Amino acid sequence: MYFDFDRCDFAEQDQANTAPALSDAQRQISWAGLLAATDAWQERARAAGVLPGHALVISGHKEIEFVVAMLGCLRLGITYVPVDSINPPERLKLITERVAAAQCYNATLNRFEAGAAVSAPLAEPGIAYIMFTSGSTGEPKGVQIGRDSVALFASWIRDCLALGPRPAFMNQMLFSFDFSLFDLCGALALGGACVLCPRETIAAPDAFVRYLADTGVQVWASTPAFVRQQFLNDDFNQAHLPQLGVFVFGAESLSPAMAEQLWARFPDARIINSYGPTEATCSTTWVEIKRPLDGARNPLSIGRAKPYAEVFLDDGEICIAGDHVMRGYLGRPDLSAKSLFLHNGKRAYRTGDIGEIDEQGLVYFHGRRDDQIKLNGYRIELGEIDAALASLPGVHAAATIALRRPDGSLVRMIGFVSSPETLAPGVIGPLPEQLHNWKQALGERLPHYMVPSELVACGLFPTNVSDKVDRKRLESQYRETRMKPTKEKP
Amino acid sequence: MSTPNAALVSKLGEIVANVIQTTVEPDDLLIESGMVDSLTAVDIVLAVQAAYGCKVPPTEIEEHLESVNALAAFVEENQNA
Repeated sequence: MYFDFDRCDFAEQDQANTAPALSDAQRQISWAGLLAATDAWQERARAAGVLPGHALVISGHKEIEFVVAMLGCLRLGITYVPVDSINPPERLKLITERVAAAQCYNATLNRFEAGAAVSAPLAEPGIAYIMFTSGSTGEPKGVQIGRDSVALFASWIRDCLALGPRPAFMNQMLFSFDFSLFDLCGALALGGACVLCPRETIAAPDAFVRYLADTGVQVWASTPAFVRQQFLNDDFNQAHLPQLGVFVFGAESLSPAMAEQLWARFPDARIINSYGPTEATCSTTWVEIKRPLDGARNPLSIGRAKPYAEVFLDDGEICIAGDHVMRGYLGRPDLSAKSLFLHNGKRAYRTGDIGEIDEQGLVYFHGRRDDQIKLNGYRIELGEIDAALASLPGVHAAATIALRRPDGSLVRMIGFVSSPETLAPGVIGPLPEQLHNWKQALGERLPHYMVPSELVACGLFPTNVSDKVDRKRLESQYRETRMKPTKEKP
Repeated sequence: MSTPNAALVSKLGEIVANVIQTTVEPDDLLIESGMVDSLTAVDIVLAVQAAYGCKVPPTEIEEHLESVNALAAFVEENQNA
């Protein structure tokens, strides 16, 4: 059996249905079990009054029920909105109101719950899911992805990656991020298995490796940063994980050094790099990284366009065209108009990423045009954090910076609140007393990966010619104050 | 815990500062303050391993990376083990 994303239904329902389909920390279910569970869930959804053409918010974290609900939505023509429990309740509520979902499904408690105060069908038809990404003005943006776009994405995994029959995929990325669809679509479209890895499982390194070995995981998809964390575990290698043969990267830059370190642990593994914003269904370019890497550029190339996609540069900015491009931001025609356009008759999207395409058609990523960052794979608009900081008591102006190492890699975020009354311009000082619990207050609004590592007070912010806060100068002021030369040598 | 060797504390302070791009005092709380997160902790552990040949076990990171002083005590005890 497998899940046919073109028809959004299970196919070959009489074949290999005792093979494992999904595992979570508690249990494993077969393909026949998955089909039966999805049928049963759809009955309950209908009884709860969930309607096709409407949105259903699914909350939880790596439960089998979460996947069952997503499949049920695809089969029923309901648009699902995945929200991992990493998001504070306030953000879940905001998202539920924005999509005007009459119901929410809580996968952790396996129950339907009341949704938005005012519910309404979605204006855009044929949407598979809506995922929310950070928005620069403080409001998360709802990216609407069509059912046909998901089918194209699944076809790429099925037809282009040569992963073999019925492979088992590790699934570790949160369902609120679309890169998590790689494992899910891959496993479902190929009739393989999807091994859900909750954060508690990942937190215990020995048990994590045993779990991956026991479930026979063959395909790994993650950020490079997540693999780097596993390097602390001596058992993370080919001897302990003999079935693991393919690593797929995305969401942040991959360096040749990282690829070499991985091959030192898994000499026979294939390494695939990929790139693409949420606005274009998970990924748009890909490349298999080949040895030797001598003379390879750092970071490595993000690859070439997939068969159904076109990638080109407009004034140095990476643009993407194809049927996998989103149908716009939910309820924000202004934002959609800024980034969407037509190219050769196809929907096209301006990514805001700066790129380069070499003679062989390989694309290289060179950073952002704006204040969006990727920290440990999380996409963050610094402006959204500024807005959250500005809502704290007594704060009139706030700015967030991302501190970088000399090689350009990001270390952490630092928040600044303006205290022009007590501090001279360019001077960094202690926080006012009323902000002592800022971390907790911010955590009620933002997921923890968007909370800066540190908050400091600062005199009048430096500004640039257009009167906006000059984050670069703010970063150098911080660096001058905090990065003292370490010690005079004796 | 005896007072760790001053030269070791200073060298480890440099390693930490290079990773988090901020100078810290030997008894500053690294993890509790948020200056070091789970990923920068990995960089510190790998850099310490490269310099001193001893590795902080993944399950003991919070304990031994509490501060530069705590890290120095761990390295002193384990570098020739």
